[in-house]
Amino acid sequence: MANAMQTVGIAFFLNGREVAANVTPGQTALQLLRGQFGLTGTKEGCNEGDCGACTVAIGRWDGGGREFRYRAHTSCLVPAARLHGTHVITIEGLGIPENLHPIQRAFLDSHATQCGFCTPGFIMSLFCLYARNPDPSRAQIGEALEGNLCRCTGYESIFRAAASIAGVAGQILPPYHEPVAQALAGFDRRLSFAEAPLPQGAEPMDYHRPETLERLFDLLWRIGDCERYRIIAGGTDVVVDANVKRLRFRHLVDIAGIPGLSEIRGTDRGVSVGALATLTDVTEHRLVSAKLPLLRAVVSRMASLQVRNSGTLAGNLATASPIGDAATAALALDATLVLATKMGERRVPAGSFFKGYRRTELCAHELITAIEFPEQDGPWDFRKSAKRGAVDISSVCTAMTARLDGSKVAAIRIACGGAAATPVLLAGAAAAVLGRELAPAAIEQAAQAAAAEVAPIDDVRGSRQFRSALVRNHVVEHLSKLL
Amino acid sequence: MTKDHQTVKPAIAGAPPQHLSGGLHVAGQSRFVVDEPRPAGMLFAKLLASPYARARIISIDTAKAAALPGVAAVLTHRDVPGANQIGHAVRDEPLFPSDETAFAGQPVALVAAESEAIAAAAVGMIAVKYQELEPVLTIAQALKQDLLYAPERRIERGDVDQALAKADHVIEGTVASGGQEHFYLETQACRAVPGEDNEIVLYSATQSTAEVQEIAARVLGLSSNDITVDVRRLGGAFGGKERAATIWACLAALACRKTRRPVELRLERIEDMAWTGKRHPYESTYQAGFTRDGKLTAYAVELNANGGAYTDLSMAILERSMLHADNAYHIPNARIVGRACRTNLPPNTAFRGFGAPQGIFVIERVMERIARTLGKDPLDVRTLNAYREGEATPYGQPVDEACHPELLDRLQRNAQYDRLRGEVAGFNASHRTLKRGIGVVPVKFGISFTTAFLNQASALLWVYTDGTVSLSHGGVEMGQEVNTKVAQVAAAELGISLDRIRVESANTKRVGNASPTAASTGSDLNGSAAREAAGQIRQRLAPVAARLLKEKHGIKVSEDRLAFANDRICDPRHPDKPIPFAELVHEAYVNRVDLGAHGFYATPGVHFDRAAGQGRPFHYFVFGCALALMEVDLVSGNSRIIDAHIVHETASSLNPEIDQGQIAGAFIQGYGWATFEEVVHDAKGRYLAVTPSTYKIPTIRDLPETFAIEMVERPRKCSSVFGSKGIGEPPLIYGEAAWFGIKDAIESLADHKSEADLAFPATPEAVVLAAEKLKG
Ligand SMILES: Cc1cc2nc3c(=O)[nH]c(=O)nc-3n(C[C@H](O)[C@H](O)[C@H](O)COP(=O)(O)OP(=O)(O)OC[C@H]3O[C@@H](n4cnc5c(N)ncnc54)[C@H](O)[C@@H]3O)c2cc1C
Ligand code: FES
Ligand code: FES
Repeated sequence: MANAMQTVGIAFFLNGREVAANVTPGQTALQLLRGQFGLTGTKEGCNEGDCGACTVAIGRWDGGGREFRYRAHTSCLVPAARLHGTHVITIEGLGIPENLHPIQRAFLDSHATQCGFCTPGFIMSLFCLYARNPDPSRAQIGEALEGNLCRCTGYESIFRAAASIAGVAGQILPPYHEPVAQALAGFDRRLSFAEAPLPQGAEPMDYHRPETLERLFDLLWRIGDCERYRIIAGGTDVVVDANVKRLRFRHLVDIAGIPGLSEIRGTDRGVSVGALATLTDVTEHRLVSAKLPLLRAVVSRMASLQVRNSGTLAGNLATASPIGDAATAALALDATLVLATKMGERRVPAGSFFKGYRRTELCAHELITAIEFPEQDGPWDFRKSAKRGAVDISSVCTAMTARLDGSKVAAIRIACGGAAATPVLLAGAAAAVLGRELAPAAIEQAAQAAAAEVAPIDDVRGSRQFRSALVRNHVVEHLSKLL
Repeated sequence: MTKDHQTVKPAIAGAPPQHLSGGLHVAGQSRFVVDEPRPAGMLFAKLLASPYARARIISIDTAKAAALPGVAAVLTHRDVPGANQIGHAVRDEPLFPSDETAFAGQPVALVAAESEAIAAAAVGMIAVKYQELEPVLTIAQALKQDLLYAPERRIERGDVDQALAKADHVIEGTVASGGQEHFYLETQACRAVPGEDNEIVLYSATQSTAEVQEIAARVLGLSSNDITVDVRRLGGAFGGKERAATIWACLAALACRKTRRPVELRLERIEDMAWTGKRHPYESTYQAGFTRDGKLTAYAVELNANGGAYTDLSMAILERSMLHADNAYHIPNARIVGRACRTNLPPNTAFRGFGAPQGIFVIERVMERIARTLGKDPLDVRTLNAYREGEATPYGQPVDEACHPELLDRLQRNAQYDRLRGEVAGFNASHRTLKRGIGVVPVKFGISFTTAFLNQASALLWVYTDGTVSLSHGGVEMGQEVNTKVAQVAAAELGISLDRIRVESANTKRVGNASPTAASTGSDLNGSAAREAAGQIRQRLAPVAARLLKEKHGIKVSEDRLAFANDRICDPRHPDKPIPFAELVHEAYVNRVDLGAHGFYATPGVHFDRAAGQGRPFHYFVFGCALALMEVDLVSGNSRIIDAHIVHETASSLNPEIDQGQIAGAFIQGYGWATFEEVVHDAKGRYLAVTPSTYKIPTIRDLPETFAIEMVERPRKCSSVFGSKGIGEPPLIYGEAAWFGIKDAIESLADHKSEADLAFPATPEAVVLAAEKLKG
């Protein structure tokens, strides 16, 4: 129907209460909470995941139902439909001025709020931290809060408040947590779809949530034209495009309902990361820590905790940004992408996946289902240079894996993002040292080769000249690690 | 914290009270403009902005947009019923351009529609034909074409040329500093709600209630009493809502007037960052002469500000730069020249510090160069040149209670400066790619609006018969806690507890003609006005209290000996026989005593003669200094702050916790400006870093490991309400210490023998390029 718009009926728990809502495919959780539910404690500061003012806690059963976990999400990037079957806790769900939650009390007591606009977001980030970790270190507090911007306090009071909460472990989770978690354990209500009149000025959009790979492929086949749909995994790129660049998609195809895709598992050669495994899953998984320290190091420095809690590794590769950090890791680690269509699977090495500026090997209707990494077995190094140390897109990001034979370089891969139209392997730099004894002269040669084989551009994140210098400097540091 | 004396009233001393809205903030219940429930029938406004920095407008066709169902109005310059003019100090800024656009992002048309989506769709249907013209973007271009907002200004003392000729050493140079995006967390917003007759209420996120009122009336062809401006709080402002909020309020008001419906106009982050003015970039040149001991004898400086497309506050900002060109140093012969350039960037505007950081940065560069020239420690050179008690500034105001030598000494001790220098040298010797450096910056900051008449404020206080108080004042709460401080003052004056006082929104109906909440004067001015109002009430209550004490307790006490404290009034000799405040108030009411008071305050003695460049523009000065220990990674160019030490004289602080928060917040903001906050535009004058994914402000990871703030609390003659001093702006300048620390670290590469050519801000790119250049 041309003048109709799809609505999605969802049910979830909000601050302990079961609620239902009809949402539109393009609607974000932030809009839903502030609009339909009038919960204006959750603020919009940027609408693109960078300020954390919209942070809420989303609770769900994790890891195949082993544990109920609350994770911090920037609600401006979460499609409202994604709240189905979760427990959302907003600032209003913690305490009221007459009866504050211990984290709220700590903020008040430490004068950790000035204008107050950022405050709810900080408190929700801390809630998720303390809900799981009663005694966080300074670094863990930093990790939990680096995705929240405050322009007033200079963070000094916020840090004091955050550090003063320890010792109230038992009082973090609200009393309604337990019954909600139980209720959600058996929650299997389906989404319901309906139609409503299309508002003036809006373009119709359909939301799909296929429940098997087969149905996904059928759906894509029915939609046909690749320009007409966007697959959404974590949504941290797709929703930013919709919010800020105002890109509109006729069909939004949510793959989060497809079982089996979020698994991280061991293989005979190494580790396979499923397409729906979030960046946080990657950083937290023991197989990754044990076998892929480089991957862990790279992913830990991507985005903020809130964004890592949504974003996926596969999405980072599929989006093929020239400065995709995970892409650099995949190249250096010689990962293989498992791509699937209706016709079956194929395996493509990361080295042949990136085809051009934001172009990949992915064909029409094709999906990344997993990324397979061989286990690391030699020295490695990783460097990310960005304007700001925390939560920033790289100016240049490089990763190296190597194998030494005595003092000779037996194998080496150096990957680089931010210095060409795609993330690339620095073949010239590798060739300059492969099979050779490493010495300062060889390192210098490799660095020069690296600078010569990249073609960085000028943009806000750095001039060509600066990026070349960074590539050179990074390569010197990587190779010096092998000395 | 050091406390020499206790001059403060007892009710103000004691544990500093919490944020008056703190409970609401932490519970997510405090409301900002767009959090208020939506009035029925509200429309949403969206703007079409000029894509060109400078272009002739040939035609605007709104027909298609207006025909879109759901669109209530499409407005351009043709639809302004009053004057199409929103300039304030200087009337040079149209609401909508009629013939030529002056900057990229200038609103050309507005759509008001039933939803944001419809409004956005309609904006896309407006067809504007432009003829692109060559924009002027840089200071150099503007100076060449003589595009100044006013003839250059001068402040002069002594004979600079002769002193330069006689000096043992003369140095000269150019110094540039960059812009800064305010990045208040709440973007610009206004809701306009029509009332009966011609009334419109503007819920505007502004620091300047009276200005918005006056200009909205002018634009609509109404009078000021038709317009009410109401501001409960702002989600940060930092100067960015002092002048720059007016246009959005006027646009919302216009749409409201045309449609007779409530209208909300809120900028998205990307719009806010792309379209609004920022801190002024400066390019300055100087010549300095000094003795072989390092004493500055002559200083000639030309400060050039990039003012952007309209005058806005540029002349006042420039003036403050000039009045701070001396910073903390006595300069016998000085010539300070200032120019504000007209360019085609969004009109640059107030930003915490208001020009002072840029003026100070230049002379701090000079101090460092003097030290290098003579092979001395820069800290010693700074101490040597610091003002001594009573020495006068180049504009003739004596620096009373000058104390920099002492504060710098405290800083040196707190940071264990000599040991630190040794450690840094050791660290640098043993690290190849990591280098450390130390930066020190003293700050002297004058408090008062340099436009003398703005130094006035009013408060309106009502005591109700239950003994609670409604307090209105002209200040706007934006996180600086002016409300907490003003309430503290009123509470102390009346001897009542804070929880009896509700501070109302800033509203032009209750407090008219309010000066902007700016220049670090919010608590001084409004606190003094509130004290005045509370004092009147107290005076009227006193006779009633004296009578009650006599009747109830048989105590005879003269009115002026009564003690007002702890919600009670008593004879201090009989503290056990008090009259409860509520009872007293009720008694006063039934005896027909006026329980409402309007307090007024005007700062005494401030004046400045612009033509002569002489006067006493400031009520008093704030003094302090900071040290930053920085570490630079030469591989990436990233720097990090390891330690920050600050010594800040607060006089008798009204609320040390608020002051500490202001110091920490301002320091980190200044640190961001000095390091990685970089405002960049393309060759066509369009800002490039217009989202937080490209414009980076500090995060919690930028918190120094040691953040030591010593507040020197002591009674000062030169101070304001209850002996306190303003706090908002001066500590921002401490952030410059980070830049000097980075430069010091880079210079270790050449054994501190030559100077690094480091840009400001010291972005990673600037650091890498400076290091490469220094290494040769
Ligand atoms: C605040 C912020 C900070 C960020 N910082 C960084 C950073 O430091 N480094 C960095 O590299 N990135 C960063 N990003 C980018 C982003 O987080 C990543 O690109 C993310 O990993 C994308 O994953 P996603 O699941 O959210 O992708 P989505 O947004 O869901 O999808 C991204 C694209 O990939 C496609 N896609 C997703 N999954 C598949 C699949 N299985 N098969 C085929 N196509 C698929 C989608 O159609 C879409 O085109 C940041 C983003 C934000 C908002
Ligand atoms: S609004 Fe800024 S992160 Fe969501
Ligand atoms: S308190 Fe204002 S942004 Fe954090």
